[in-house]
Amino acid sequence: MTRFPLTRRALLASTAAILATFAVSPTFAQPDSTVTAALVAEPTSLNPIYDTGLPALNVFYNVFDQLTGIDETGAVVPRLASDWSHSDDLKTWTFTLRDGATFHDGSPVTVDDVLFTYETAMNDPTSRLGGYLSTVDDITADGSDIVFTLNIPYAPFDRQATLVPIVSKSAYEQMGAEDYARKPVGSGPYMVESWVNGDTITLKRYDAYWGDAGEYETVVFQPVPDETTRANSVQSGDLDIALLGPSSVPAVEGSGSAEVIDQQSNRVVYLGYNATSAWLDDPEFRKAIDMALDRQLLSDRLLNSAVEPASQLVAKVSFGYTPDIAPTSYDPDAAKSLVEASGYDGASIPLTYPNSGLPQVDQVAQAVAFFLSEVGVNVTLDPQEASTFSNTWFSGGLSGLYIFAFAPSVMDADLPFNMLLRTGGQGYANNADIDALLDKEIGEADADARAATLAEISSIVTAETYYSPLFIDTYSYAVTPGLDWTPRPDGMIVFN
Amino acid sequence: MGRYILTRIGWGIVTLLAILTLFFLARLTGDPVRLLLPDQATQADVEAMRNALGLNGPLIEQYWTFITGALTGDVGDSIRQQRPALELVLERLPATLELAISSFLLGFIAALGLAVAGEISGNRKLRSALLWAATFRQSVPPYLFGILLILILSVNMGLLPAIGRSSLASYVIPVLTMATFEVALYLRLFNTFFDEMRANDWVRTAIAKGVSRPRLVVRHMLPNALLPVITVAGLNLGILVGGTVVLEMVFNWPGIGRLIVQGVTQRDYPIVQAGVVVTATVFILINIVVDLLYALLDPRVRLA
Repeated sequence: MTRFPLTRRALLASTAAILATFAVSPTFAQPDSTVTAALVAEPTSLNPIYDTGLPALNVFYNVFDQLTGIDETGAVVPRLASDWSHSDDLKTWTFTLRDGATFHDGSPVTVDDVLFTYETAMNDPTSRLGGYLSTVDDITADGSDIVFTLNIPYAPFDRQATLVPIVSKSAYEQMGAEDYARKPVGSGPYMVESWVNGDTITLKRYDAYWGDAGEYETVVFQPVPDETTRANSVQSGDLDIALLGPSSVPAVEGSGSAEVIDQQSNRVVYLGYNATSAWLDDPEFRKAIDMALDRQLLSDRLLNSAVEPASQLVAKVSFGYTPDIAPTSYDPDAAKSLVEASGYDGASIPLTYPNSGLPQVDQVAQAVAFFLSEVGVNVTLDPQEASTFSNTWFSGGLSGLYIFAFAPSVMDADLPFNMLLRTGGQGYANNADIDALLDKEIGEADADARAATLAEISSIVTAETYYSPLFIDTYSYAVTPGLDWTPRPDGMIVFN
Repeated sequence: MGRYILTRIGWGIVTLLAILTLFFLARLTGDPVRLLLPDQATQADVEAMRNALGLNGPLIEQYWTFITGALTGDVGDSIRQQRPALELVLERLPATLELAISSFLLGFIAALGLAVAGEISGNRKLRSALLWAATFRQSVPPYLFGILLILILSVNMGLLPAIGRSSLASYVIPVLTMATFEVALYLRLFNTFFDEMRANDWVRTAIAKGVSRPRLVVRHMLPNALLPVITVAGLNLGILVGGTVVLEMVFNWPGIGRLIVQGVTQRDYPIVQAGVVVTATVFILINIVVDLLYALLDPRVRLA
């Protein structure tokens, strides 16, 4: 009798092979498909006027439309507005509303809904969304056009519009802000079916969507704040997509039960200087620190070689990035002689950083302290709870070195540059040339000219070493093998 | 009896007020407004929001508004969610309670059964084996034990869900994690008290009079051991309700622990305060119940 070596292992392997054949076939045609994705925190409200946090924005990108959108290459694309234009002085913006878009209750999206959304956001002092609209003086309707009058020329206003999800006026008024926050009516590819507090937000495909249809019948968003739990839950099959922390990546890759997908992000992690504090007020001393940082080693040893050394404060995907600047080369010898030349007396410089929210931040801070000690600069680590840190950062109260990151959702350099570089902002550059260039770029209608001005600002930052950009972050996701899904640089998880 | 209960409740309220005052001071640790507005919001936006939320008045005024509100059961609306904070916490309470109470009951009953069985058998090897197992379980912190169970049962074997509270199966790992810890705790307590008792005169007298071993253990030794164990159990149940934050993170359990953590990171004070009010109230209520149970179980305790 012939013995067939039909072991359990062989059986499993053949089953897996059969399953894999199914998995690679396109998923968009599946009528009853479900995908479950982790959010790193729970939205506090699904009313766009009252929550601008990233977890909420992630849900809004699936449930709502904005006038314009940003695609995965960072370009502005039409959404509810089929077309838009601006006056020469960039102070009047006209968006034309597309025909045929409907809310989930079937009613058409009208200019009234757009006006209602913007006006509610601007008039209610407790609105979070209003914070994005401080440039808007007035908004009016003209047929199917919506006309914005701004109080300053504002070149990236079409990008700013991507942050404002359009609510249904009738549904909003009928339900009231509180009920709307639980089960909003939008015009996006998915509609909210239910929200179980702390557990799941379930979306159903909206079949009458005007644009690219949702790929899944059901989308479940599950807030899972803990990194390890997220990694485990994809391997166990409870989740299909979850953002990983760098330390979980090797384990997930080795498990075989989940794939890892990398996406370079719009986020730059940087080392900041209070350029008005002792020793750091010397540009040569800052340059020494900049040259002492081994960015490649940070990437290779702490971040799975997944991140790219950064040369400037914006990532490649953002408008205003210039390929002409290269990351500072690691040169400890030159750094050491600059430190000696500065007359540095060995005084310890604080290195403040948020203890969560950035990849491997404790290790990165320790590495930076080590790099600096190698060239003779003493550093005291000062980790702070994340929200404490962010308040200190906002108020300009950091006393020496600090580590933080910027990821502009609109993928444009204007916002990070204004906050990090303008005098009176969150940085310590106090450079009149930069202020003048910022005033210039915001009013430049020609994209090439504006890009050149932004590049000029980055060159000054490099020349003066106001910041040491460390790396362009990469978002790594654990994904169910064979899942049809494309990540985005802003970390938003969308399914159409 | 009625007066005793009233006094206990009165002291409970005083304790609650003290706890609330302590947590009110959490306001000094950071500004929620900057955290909830977009980066681009101007200083004027921030001021308008602070005014609207009542965060701009003098601290003593804020304290008065807060404490008078709290006394009427109103700790204010969540800064983030625009809903009454107490309502949000109470919504999450069942998830926490069902985990705490089921683990507690399972653990307590199993420990009682094992301890009594061990004692009745009179088998020293069995007793010490149980004790070793209990000590081993107690020495592994619950969150670590939980992660290990997830890795084995969910990740490797795919038998049970790793997270959530969607099906009956999703209760297994959390309850198993917490209940085994409880078993270990009470088993060791019962054992200690049984050990002490065995040398007592009244036990020897009972044996000399020919009382059967099961009757001796169940009717005579157990009631005596229950008294101190129940005191510990009461405190411990309170800790289970308020202190499973880490486990709720590990199992992604939608209970009040995770809500409070979220409230802390977002500086959403009303949520934190409501969470503290609710857990403190549960703790105080359990203590009152334990005191009453004590009186029922021990005829020597008089409630005067």
